Amino acid sequence: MKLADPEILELTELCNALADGTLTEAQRLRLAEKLAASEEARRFYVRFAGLSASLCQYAGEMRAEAPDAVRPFWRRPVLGWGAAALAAAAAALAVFLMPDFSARETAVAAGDLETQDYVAQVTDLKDCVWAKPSAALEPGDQLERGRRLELVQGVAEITFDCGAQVTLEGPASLVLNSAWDATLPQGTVSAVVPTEAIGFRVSNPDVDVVDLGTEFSVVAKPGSATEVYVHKGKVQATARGGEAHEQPALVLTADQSRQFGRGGSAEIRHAKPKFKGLARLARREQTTGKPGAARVAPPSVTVPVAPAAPQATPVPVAKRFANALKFDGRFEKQVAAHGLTHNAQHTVTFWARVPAAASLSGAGAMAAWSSGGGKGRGTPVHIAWNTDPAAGTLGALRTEYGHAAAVGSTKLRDGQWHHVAVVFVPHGRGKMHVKQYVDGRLEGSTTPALPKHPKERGKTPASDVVWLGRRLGSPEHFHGELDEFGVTGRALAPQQIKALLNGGPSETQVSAGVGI
Amino acid sequence: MNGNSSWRDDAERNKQLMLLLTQHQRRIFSYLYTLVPDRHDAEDLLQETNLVICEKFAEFEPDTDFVAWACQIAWWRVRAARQKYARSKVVFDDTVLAAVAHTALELRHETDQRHEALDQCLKKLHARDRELVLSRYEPGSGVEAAARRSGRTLVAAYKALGRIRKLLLDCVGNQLASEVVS
Repeated sequence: MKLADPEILELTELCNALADGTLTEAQRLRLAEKLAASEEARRFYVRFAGLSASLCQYAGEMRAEAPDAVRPFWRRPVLGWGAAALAAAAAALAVFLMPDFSARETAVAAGDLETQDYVAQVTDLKDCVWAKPSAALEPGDQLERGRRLELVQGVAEITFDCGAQVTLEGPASLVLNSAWDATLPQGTVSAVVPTEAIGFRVSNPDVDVVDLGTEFSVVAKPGSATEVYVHKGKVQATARGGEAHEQPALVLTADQSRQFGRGGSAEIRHAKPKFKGLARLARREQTTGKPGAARVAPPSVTVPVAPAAPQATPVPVAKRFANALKFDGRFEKQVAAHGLTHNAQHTVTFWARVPAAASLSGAGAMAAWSSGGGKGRGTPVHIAWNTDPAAGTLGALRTEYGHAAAVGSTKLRDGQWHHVAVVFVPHGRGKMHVKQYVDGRLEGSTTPALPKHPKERGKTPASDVVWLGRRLGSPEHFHGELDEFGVTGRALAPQQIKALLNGGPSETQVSAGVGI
Repeated sequence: MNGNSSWRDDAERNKQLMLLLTQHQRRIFSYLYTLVPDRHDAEDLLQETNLVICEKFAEFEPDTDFVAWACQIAWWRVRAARQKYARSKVVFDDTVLAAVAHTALELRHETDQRHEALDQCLKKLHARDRELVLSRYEPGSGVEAAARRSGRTLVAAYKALGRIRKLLLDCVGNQLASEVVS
């Protein structure tokens, strides 16, 4: 059966992520699911991978044209391999077939990257002493991809953007590889991983631990095997050390533990006493005594949407969303949101329902404002659903910041209510990091440059408002419903976003249900 | 006489091995890359596969499908790598990996055609895009290095690469379809 366009788009996105090394665990599972289910998907994948293989070869040729380069093995003329090769024994033959390893890619140091995304934030600290005083952290600090934390003593709680909450107990080192992945060279970490962050990974040279929805601890000591303890749920642990190839991946469930080292994996003797202390660390009873939610300070600015006079009469819908605004492509609503237009940290949250039959031409924007400058110099910001197949999944959440856009993967265009949260964090290098969550799950980010008018940065535009249901400077209007629109003057942590999603009062005082 | 005959047989055999290996390296590499989509890992496995092909070449029956035989050897090297390195070198579980390997083997005959078509499609790309995608796949390079060289941000480079790959995939498909029509 031929693949439908949306399937091709999704496969293309997944294959691109795989090709560029940005495939998340969730995406890997999704790709595997597609490939297992469809011969056409496998054919697409094989051709896509074949394209990359060919590009490796053509790129190798291009490099080989440089005078000091080695010609790639697949284009070496047969005669050029020499008569000796023809007469050589089979083992020697292989030497001539060796690919060029001389220019192996080495890991790019974090500081070398032009654009560093934020992947986590510090949510709690207790009695922390850092290896470098200059690298000391404060609660609420945003942490960049590739950041290495060197904790001499104390306890630090790090919340990854995917929602995984990791407690690091010094002395320990932790490298933040992405919003879904950390390396533990040494020390003790305990992780509480919510459903939205299944697939979160902690690894080191001994073991690769992939969360399957759980609480677990990993203890890595120099010169010793790495220990894995599961407090709740289950993890997949795969030995990576020396002779470990003899052992398959293991699934460890609650109250199970295992150590992993050069010889593979083995039971941990007298594991029970260790469990208790580690479980306490995982639930953070040692520091504040409060389990679960993130403990960053509440937002300094809370911006409930003011009940501004609507330009059209909204049609209420039932149940939780009784006060939702219904947009039929003609209406829009203007609300005051002091502070949102500054180039400062803030989070925009709301519920949205987009009809399954919503047309591309009538997508409009759910929310729009101008950020960072007045007199037409501000950067237009639009929170919408994606109508550009080339940019990603049709109907997925799309946040545009100027010319840059983050595109998610969950299709909002299904007639169901979805919770949307978009977090804006100014980057120290003149950029704005934008990350978006759908139903509590991290889905896409972008880091565009801030406006190039230094004098305009931080200046409040004349009209400090958010438009709901329309785009700026465009007649396009949104078709669908919106509710519980709220803005806070901080970058909310994933747990705080989830608290809003679950409808309970949150520590952040974000005004969920502000009467639109 | 027997000794000379044996030497000639061995030399002929080695010559045949060399020709087959050089002729089909691309297909074997492409097959491996499909199962282990990382250049360096695929190159490692290609090297291992080549060694085994050399060792076992006496078992190869002339006039049968060399690529199919070589891909079987490559398949077992991938399986061994899976056991040895677990998830670090292989993305998929055994079931999916076997299904993908089967499809890759089925499509092995189109590898060369698609490779040649890609050459034409690369020429049709805008020079800036061509430079980006080729520098991305250069040995020792990566997305970050390619982004720096092309003056793009990392995010812009990821997006551009996704767009370029899609363009190339469509172009190769169209090129092969037009060749069939003509």
